[in-house]
Amino acid sequence: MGNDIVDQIRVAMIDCQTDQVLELVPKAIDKGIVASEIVNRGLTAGIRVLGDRFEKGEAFLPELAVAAETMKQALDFLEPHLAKSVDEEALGTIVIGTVQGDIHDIGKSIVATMLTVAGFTVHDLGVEVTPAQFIAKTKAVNADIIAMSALLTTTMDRMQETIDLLKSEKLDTRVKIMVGGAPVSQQFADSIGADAYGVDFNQAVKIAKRLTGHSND
Amino acid sequence: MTTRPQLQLLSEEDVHRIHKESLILLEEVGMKIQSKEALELLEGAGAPVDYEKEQAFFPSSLVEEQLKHAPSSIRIFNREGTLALTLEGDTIHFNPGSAATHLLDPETGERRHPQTEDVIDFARVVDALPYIDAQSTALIPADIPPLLADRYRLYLILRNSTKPIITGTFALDAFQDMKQMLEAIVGGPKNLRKKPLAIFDTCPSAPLQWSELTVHDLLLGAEAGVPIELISMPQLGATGPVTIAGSLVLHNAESLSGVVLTQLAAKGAPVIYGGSPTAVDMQFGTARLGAIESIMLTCAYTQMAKHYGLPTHGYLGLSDAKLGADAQTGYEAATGLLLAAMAGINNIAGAGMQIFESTQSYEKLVIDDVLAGMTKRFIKGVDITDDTLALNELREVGTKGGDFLRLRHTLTWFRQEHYLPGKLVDRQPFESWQNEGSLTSLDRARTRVKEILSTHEVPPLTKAQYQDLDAVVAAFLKRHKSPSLPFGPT
Repeated sequence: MGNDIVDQIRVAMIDCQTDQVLELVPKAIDKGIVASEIVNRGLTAGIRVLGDRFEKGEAFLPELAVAAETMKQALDFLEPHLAKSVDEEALGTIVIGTVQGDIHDIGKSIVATMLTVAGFTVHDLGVEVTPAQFIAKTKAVNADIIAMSALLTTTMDRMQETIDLLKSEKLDTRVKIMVGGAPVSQQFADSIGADAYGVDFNQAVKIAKRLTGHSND
Repeated sequence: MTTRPQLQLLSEEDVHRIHKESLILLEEVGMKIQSKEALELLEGAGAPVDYEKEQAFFPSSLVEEQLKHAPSSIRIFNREGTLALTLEGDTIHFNPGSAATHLLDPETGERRHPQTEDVIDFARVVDALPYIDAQSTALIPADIPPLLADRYRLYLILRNSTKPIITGTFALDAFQDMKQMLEAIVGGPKNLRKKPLAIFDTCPSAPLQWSELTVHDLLLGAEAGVPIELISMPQLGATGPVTIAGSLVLHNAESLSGVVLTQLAAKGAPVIYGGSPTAVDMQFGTARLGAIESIMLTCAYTQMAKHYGLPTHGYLGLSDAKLGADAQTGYEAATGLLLAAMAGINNIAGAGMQIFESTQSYEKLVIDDVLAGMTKRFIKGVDITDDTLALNELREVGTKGGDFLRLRHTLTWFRQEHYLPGKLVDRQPFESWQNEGSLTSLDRARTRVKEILSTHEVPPLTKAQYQDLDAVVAAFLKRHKSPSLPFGPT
């Protein structure tokens, strides 16, 4: 019977039924199912199916966005029940945000969604994120990657400030920096000492996997 | 509430003038008709007839009277007996242009004569395309004796697609064979009348003539309840006046004569007012189908047909470009299909067709499927309801700089509100496009065709359908002393 409910969670994830997932997850815990099984065979298995469908052009961004949001809420509930933290099970932990002075959100949000779907734990700080906020969160969640976005040429320089702060905190050897956004280029990324630049969300996922040692691509 | 995008080229006054002038033309000049049977039908209905000159003069009262009997709605069914096309009002449906003598080879780009295998492959690709609603007997297989190619391509398509078929004949003995093939699929003449699976095109010869073959098919089709599509095809400046108005009068007169003939053959017979007018190029003498004037004449005669309450057909979305996918192929196809949809043409033929209606290409076919999808989205218009106005969502997101992407409203509506064309349309970021090899429309179209051909499966006919169909084919092959043809009955 236990398997049934985990499978229902997987199916509800695939169908983007947020309410149903959030109703089934506590029920599964009540039945004594191990939290990691709910995550692995329920939530993650479901979101992977959507990810595969997205690759084939059968699922689309709104489905992934809602599923990623559902995943986040379900994980918040499950956190106390997990022996190991969610972060340890994941491919890695990423702190993401749009830099200070810039309120453009959507490109960054899509990248955050795709990273979640790919299996990363993503902490999205939203927009207008200061260098200090990036660093504080990175320390708090022991992040592997800081991902920064900017849409305006006037706010790009804020990326440099975050990298400088990271260096002064002596975190730059462990924490990788990836940058993106319309005015950003590989050349710019190199010039500010970022570890990687991605032109779109597909590349962002590839880069994050490479930076965390999950792929050589 | 939605408002359907409309297109009108004629005022109400214009429509009445064209109608009046067409009636005068039919009454005073008449039509040459190479069919004793048709002339007798007309004479019996009170039309003055000259048997020696094979000419009939249509009294206006006769035309007005017969127009009343023609049905305003025609339903066409697929091979499984499911409703596929509803030809009425402003509905739109797409099918490939019919009877190309050439094909652009999807591997080499070479323009060559199609073979039997090509007819099968083409039918399978059309079968797979989501926005192409019907087949047409699009290719004439060159490896089949010319006088058998009409019915043999129908045979191949019936075996390789479930979609309904727009077709026509090349020989006097073809219609009965083709009708019998359709009956073999649907289970007899009664079922074919009830659930027609095919439409037969009959083309008057501009100016003002009906050939023996076309009238023959028209009368037999009308009697059998098989929908007849009237394809008048004046060439502006050659077989019709150079002016759109003048050729419109001619087109309308020819079409009205066709309606009269169908209704005299069988009162209430299903008939579609269609056409394939062209504009003669004044530099090269070619019959341009992608020309804006051809499109204008088609949209104008559609208004006449709607005035009469008849289902409509048009040859639009064609291109005269020589490549399966270049800029001209795209802009001519898009212009034609979009305007056809706005004009509310029920049966729009032309997908895949190019080079003066002589050549089919797979590349244009799959691109036209995308254009058809885009066009169908367009005519759905802007849906305005409490839910689509998204007032709650606009308040929820407000000014705090969030996004709508992760809202359930987006998830609920995006598939209905947005046409999703897939990878044929290039919407990648520049660098991704470059990294994947800087592919052109032609490259992407060929990839799509290959994907379909390697994956698409058409449900087989039942054993009884196979047997009955093969029996009809075996009989006409024997009659024509062609006992064995490629992919024929075994």
